[in-house]
Amino acid sequence: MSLPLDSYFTGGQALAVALAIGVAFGWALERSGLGSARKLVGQFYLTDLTVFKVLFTAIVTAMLGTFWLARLGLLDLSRVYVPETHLVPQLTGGLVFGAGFALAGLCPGTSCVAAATGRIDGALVAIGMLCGVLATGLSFTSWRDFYDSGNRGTWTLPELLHLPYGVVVAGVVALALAGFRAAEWVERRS
Amino acid sequence: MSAPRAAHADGRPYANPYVAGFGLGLVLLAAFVVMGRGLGASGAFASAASGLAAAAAPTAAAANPFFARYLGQAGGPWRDWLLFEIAGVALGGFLSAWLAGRLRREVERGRGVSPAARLTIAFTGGAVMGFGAVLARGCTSGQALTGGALLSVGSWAFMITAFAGAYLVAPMLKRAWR
Amino acid sequence: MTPLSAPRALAGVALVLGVLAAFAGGPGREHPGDSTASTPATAAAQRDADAVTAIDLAQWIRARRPGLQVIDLRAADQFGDYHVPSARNAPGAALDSLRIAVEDTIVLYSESSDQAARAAKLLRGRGYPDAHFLHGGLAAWIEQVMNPILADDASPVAKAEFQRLAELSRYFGGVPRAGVAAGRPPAPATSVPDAVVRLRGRGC
Repeated sequence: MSLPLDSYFTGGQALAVALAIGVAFGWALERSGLGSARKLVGQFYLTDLTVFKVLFTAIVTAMLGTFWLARLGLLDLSRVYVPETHLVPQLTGGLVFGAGFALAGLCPGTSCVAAATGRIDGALVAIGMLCGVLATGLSFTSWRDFYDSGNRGTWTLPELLHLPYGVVVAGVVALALAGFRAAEWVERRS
Repeated sequence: MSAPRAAHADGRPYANPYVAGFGLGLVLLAAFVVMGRGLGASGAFASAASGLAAAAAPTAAAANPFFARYLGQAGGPWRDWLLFEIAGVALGGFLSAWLAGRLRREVERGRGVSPAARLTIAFTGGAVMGFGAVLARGCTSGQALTGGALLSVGSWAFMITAFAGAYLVAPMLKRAWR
Repeated sequence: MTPLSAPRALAGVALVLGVLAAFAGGPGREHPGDSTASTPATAAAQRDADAVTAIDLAQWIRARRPGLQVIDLRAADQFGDYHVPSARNAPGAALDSLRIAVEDTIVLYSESSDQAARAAKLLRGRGYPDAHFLHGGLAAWIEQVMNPILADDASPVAKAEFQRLAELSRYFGGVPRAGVAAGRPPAPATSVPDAVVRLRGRGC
């Protein structure tokens, strides 16, 4: 039996897995307080950097886990889906998304947590998200060329930097740990 | 005067962010190992939007290249993996808050803004994120978290510009969160 | 001395694993079930051959072969409708605008073999020794990778081969079909839009 296990699941079983993983995901988000817009926006006013700490701890954890499972021959990396890079749309989309994030005080995932815990603003963010996606889809022909531009396929940092995978992993860990130190300092100052 | 440190809702205090982040990272790793894919959120919204579009106007929706992709999935848009995942997210969030005594019906806002204004801004922010997430092929869950852990260039680019965009807009709303 | 808290412990573990990762070398490309050529002799033989089969290309993409560049020579809207995963678009063989390196393994494809074969020959002439074309074009990709068929009366060897192929097909969101009755002509090669419809959603 080799990892990942997805080829062993039927469609229905995969959906059950989705639900289970989602529950764990939502649980972790709520536990960290990211289901609260008031707490979340502290990131943008540099008073509460929970977003940064949770996000990068998660990234480092999953990154190290992925690297080492693959290195030990347990995980077949080629069967793990890596999002493709569409450079300019992602840079632009990121900027726009970030602006919306600051307005809403919640991201799509955390808005669902907020809504589920009774926050009406969370529900409105989610509804707004749905409307925004719908409107973008309806007007898709206007954006299509831009949307399709900058396709670099699967492109990873090791390839970009011409460095071995493990070295980039080490670099990201170092960056994250330094970032956490800085975050603690910033929070103490505020 | 800096914005007050956000107090937790009545109930048990939140978990240590590093510990919670570690847990989240394990969930993400589990997704890689079990399903060969990562987490996401905006894709669920896209599937739902496609499903709604198809319910309203089936032929037009199928002809729309954006919706068609989600409509054409095995089982249709309502059996999208991310849709089930996000349902789980809501359930998990609810359970966690319930057990910690943090369930509360309210409009989270600062003292400087009325509920109606906050809700309007929240909706607008959501809509703007919807547009951005389509262009970027994901959001903080799918791109920053998942793509970040997998070291995808586009995902890191998204992460950087998303934080930049947020820091650019946030000062305009400072009064709303005071 | 400060007591060891959970965050500190995690940071320590991360640091150790991170530093070790820098010295660990990359995860090997060889893994169970991978049939990508890895010996110098077979690699050279592959390089000399101009044409690449759809199955080979699929395996290369899946194995994330370093330096692989898949180029779609069709029009932009056709590309938008469907393209081989990881492919980039160069409509009308406008190859000058693309960033390709001499060491890259370039696989060009068009609707059928012809246009891509000519473009590959052109690139080789310009000093890109590892330029190939997809034999049978996108039609072959859809037929062999996205919709492989196993006839009912296939031999056990063929059946075993099909299992591996089916796994590869599913990776790309294809729909392998077994149990096509002998004597009945196989279902016509699916059109590109149908292939699009069956693509497994991989959104975020």
